Amino acid sequence: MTLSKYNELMENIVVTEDMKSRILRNIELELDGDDAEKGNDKVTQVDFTEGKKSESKVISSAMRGRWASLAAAAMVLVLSGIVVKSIIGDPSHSGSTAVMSEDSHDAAPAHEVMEGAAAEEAMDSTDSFANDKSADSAKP
Amino acid sequence: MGKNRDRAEALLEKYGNAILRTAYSYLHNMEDAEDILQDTLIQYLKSDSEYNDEEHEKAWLLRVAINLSKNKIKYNKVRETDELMDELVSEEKEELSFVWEAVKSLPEKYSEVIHLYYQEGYSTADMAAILNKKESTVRSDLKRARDKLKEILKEEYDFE
Repeated sequence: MTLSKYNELMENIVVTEDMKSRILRNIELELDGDDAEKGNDKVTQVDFTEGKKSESKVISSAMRGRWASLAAAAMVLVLSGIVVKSIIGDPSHSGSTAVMSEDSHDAAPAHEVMEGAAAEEAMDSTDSFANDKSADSAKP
Repeated sequence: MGKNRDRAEALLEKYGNAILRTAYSYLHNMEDAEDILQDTLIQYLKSDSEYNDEEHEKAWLLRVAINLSKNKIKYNKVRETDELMDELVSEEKEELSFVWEAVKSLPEKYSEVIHLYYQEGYSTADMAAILNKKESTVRSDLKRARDKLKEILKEEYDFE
């Protein structure tokens, strides 16, 4: 039967001694390497300094991002505080108040100037009103 | 440390050829088949499973070898040398080389049932369990595989 020949040809495929030693060596490396790693984990549990070192490396690498974002947020807060302060503490306002606070003896003159300015404004407004009235009366 | 080596050695003695031949039926070269044999044993040793009997154990190993072989075909480039063909040709085993060529030319779903049926002697039910297919599918694949093989051998190689 033809297909019995299939078995015959498959008999040519065998695990040779070379193949066997290669495979066993690789399996030992693969599996005993895994076992060694598991063993090292146990060692780090006992050896606190090594564990801490490796732990600190893990912590520093993990926390680095967090610290960076916190620092960035802090910078934003500081900058915004500076900006707000600069807006609130406007040079023109801060100048007049300074004058008023520092030069208290000049407060009265400043007050008088403001009153005078207010009086002038009032006179200007009445003049303009009078002009308007005359203009209205001039209309046909 | 020696425990893994001892277990691996025992597995190689018992199932090494079967696993290697199964892998070779998919990959058609010795280097890739050897990789599959190695990886299959590693998986078995890592799984640390216990089996009721040798038949279950062997079926598990062949299933893993088949899956690994299919993955290798799918994701990696398979080497193109075919040592078996070279050997059959060099030894002037013409008929065997014709059969091997014909089986190689079959679609994978046919060549795998041919191998498991004729080389390993599995029933269609057992093959269905290993290949994770319905038994009816395996049965029809096997019939079609045999018919196709006969057709190829008759037409190409004048086999009767």
